[in-house]
Amino acid sequence: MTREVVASRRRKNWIEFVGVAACLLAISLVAGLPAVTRAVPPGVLIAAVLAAAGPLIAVFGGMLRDLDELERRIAAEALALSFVVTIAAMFAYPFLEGVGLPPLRPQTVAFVLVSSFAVGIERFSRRYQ
Amino acid sequence: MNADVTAERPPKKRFEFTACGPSVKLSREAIQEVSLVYASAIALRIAVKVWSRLETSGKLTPTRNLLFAAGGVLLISLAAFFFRRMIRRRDYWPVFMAGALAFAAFFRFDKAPVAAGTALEKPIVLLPILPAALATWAFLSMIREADELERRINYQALSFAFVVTFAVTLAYALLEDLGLPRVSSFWWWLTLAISWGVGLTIYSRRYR
Repeated sequence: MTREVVASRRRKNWIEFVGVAACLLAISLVAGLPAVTRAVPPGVLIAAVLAAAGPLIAVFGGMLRDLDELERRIAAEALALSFVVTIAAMFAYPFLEGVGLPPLRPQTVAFVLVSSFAVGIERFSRRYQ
Repeated sequence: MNADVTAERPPKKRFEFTACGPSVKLSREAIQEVSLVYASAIALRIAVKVWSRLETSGKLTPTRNLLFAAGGVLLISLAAFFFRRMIRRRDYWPVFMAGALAFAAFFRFDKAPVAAGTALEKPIVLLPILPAALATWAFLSMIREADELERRINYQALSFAFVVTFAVTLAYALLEDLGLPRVSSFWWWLTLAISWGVGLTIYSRRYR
C-alpha cells in the first residue's frame, strides 16, 4: 500500500472520529436543552446518546487497528499515560471534595482523559523523532 | 510415562495475579513488601487520627508530639525503604500495587479528611499523592517493559477503557441535565478501572 493511500485512510479515520464525537457532543447538548427535555421522553434521549456512543467506540477501535508499529507504540504509551493521569486524578479528587471543592462535572472528566492523551501523543512522538 | 509427564510439568505457581498478561506474578518477597507498605500506611493514618483527637481535645504534650513525629517519620521511612527495594529489583507490579494500596489507605469516600481542623489536614490530604505518583510511574514502566503480547493486550484494553469512559462521561452529562445527581469523581475512577478490567478479560481471552 502506498504512503498516499495510508495517509488518506488515516485522514478519513480521523474525520470519521471527529465527526462521530461531534455528533455525540451535539446530541448531548441538544438533549440537555430544557425545551427538549420537556418535550421528549428521557428514555428516547438516553437511547439517542447511547446510539451515538456505539459508533464512536467502533470508529476509535478501527483507527487504532490501522496504525503502524511505531504509531501503535506511541498510542499505547499515550493511552497508558492518559489512563494513569485520569485514574489518579479521579482517585485524588474526592480528597479535595472532602476539603470543600464541588464534585467534578462529567465533561471535565472527558476533558482530562482527552487532554492527557493528547499530551502523551505529543510527548512520546518526540521521543521517536 | 506418568513420572515423565509429572517431571515435565512446569512448577505450580503459588500465587498469580495478572494484569498485563499471563506471566506476571507476585513473589513471596513482593507480597510481604506490599503488605508491609500497606500496614505502614494504615499505621500512619491511625497515628494521625489519634494525634488529631489529642490535638483537638488539648491533651497533646510536647513529649507526645515528639513521639508522634518520630513514629510518623519511622513509618514513612519504612514504606520508602520497601518501595526502594522493589524499585531496585525492577519489580514494577508490586510497586504499582503498593502505591495504590498506600493511596487507598488514606482514602475517605464522601467523608471529612483524616486530620480535619488541625495543622496536619492539608499535608495529609497531599501526602497520598506520593504513592499515587509512584504507582503511576510503575504502571508506565510495566507497560514499557512488557513483552509484545502483553503490550498488545494492554493497549487494546486501555483503548477500550478510554473510549467507554469518554462515551459514559458524555452520556452522563446529558443525564445530569435530565435531573440525575452529580456524582463523586470516585465513580469515574471506578468506570475507568472496571472498563480496563473488562477490556483485559476480553482481549486476553482472544490470545489464549
